Amino acid sequence: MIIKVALKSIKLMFKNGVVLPLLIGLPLSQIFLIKKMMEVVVPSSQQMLHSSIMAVVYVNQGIENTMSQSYAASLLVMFILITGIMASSFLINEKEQKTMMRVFSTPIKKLEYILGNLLGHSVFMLCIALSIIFITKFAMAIDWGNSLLWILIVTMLVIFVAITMGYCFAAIFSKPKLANGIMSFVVVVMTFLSGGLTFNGAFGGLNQFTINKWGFEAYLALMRGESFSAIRLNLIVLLALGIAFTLIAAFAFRRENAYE
Amino acid sequence: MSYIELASVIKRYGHAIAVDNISLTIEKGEIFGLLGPNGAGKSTTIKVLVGLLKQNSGDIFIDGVDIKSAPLETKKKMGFVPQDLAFYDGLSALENISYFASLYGVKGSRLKELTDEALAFTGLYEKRREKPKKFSGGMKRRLNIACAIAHQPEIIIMDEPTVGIDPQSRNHILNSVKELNHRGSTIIYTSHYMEEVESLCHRVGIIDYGKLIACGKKEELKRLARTEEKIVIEMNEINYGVLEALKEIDGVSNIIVEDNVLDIMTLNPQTKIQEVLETLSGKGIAVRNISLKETDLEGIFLELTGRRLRD
Repeated sequence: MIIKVALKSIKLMFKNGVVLPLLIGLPLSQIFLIKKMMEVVVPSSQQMLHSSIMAVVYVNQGIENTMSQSYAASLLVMFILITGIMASSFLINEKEQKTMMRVFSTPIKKLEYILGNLLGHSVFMLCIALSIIFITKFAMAIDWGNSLLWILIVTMLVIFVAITMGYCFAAIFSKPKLANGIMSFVVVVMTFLSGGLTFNGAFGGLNQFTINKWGFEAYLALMRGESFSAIRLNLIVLLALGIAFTLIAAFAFRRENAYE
Repeated sequence: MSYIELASVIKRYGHAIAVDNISLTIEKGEIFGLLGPNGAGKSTTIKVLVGLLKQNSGDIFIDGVDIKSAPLETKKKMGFVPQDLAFYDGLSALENISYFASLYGVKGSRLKELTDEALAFTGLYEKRREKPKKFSGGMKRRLNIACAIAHQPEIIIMDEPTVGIDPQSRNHILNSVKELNHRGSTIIYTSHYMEEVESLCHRVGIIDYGKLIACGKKEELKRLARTEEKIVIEMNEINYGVLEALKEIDGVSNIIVEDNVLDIMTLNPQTKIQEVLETLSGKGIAVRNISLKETDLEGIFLELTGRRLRD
């Protein structure tokens, strides 16, 4: 049953002709633009300082590399979270179109239905995230580090958290526009507070409460070539968040009229 | 024990009672109609039966199995046609039917065979690869049915399956219901269109305000009415002032007005025709046609509740 539901979800996601190129194209174009900006801004500042302090040139070169890398990691986390909004919309659409009601009248357990959707949406989002990682690696020279396995694990955990958070919203709301609006707001605020795009500190420790921080820092550590021990806490936090959201969503979907 | 049995079922939403102590039995191979106005509790009763809602008290048995103790087992026997169109706009007709049938455990070549059969039965085979958003209202209704019958359920539960469609599509669906019954399915059919229920169903349960107020064969229900006939008067135009005058005639219990037609429920209608005509003539109303007709389910509902089915 889980596989059948997962296949249906994947089919519906991939059949949406607009969404797929948009979800891959948008972050890629943003990473590309930022990288180009760095290429223009950093050499000019290097030129200005070249004659006086050589050390700054090296620091600046380091900044160019770090900025592009950081933006790539931060944007990837943000877009995975945005894709989570889409997963939530798909589930709310099932309520609106009454297909969830029809599914719950068949001999399928609610948990099987949720896990099936989780599997399907995860596969779809993993395809998007890996496409972004590989295209930025080979076409834009973003260095995602040496461990593809750990990059994959971090990506899967961020996806897990993004989807299950989306499912919590889907369980609570019955109108996709309202849920999308609130969830988009949450994602934007989290991205801002995480400092992933502004690099201006931790907002007095508030970034600890954002999903972005834990995913973003894990990617950065892997990009720097650090080992598993450096990202252990990040993985534990992401896993714990994912499990917590799953439990909340499963509990909310246990309501008898959860399909409405 | 009957094939389907509801025993003292109560369903509350907060303090409001949607299903009020309903008990009824349905035999295998029957077409059972649930008739009642909008908001009477038909859909809630159906949702409890298919396991979408849990009853607050009472028991429901399907083929002797309690739906509370074995919900998945009982759901396997059923196919549910919801009142709302419930399929994926992003999937083709074939993919929709195949998906819902697969949730009942049908797989492999059998799934393909049954999906094709459901498509052919509902007249959608030629359109099987098209997405439903291109379909007409009638075709969407047929797809809604196909998604519920592909796995060949023993019990088909249809909640207002003909809402908002043209007469041709309605006839197609009504004939399909009869055919499904001939093939052996037990059918529970809810509607507020009494003509449909009257023409399709072997037995009828009338629901109002969550209560089952009458249940039986059409003939048995008609015996509940105080009169077996009603006076039907067609007029060129209706003058609502005349209604009060007609209601004052001794023996007239109720009057239904639809367009320019009056249905007058009265004891001994043959003896009242003269008086009715005199009243109309006194008010200067021109009568186009007058006749006596057998009391229908609408009339019975009116007699039992004092309200019309479509109020």
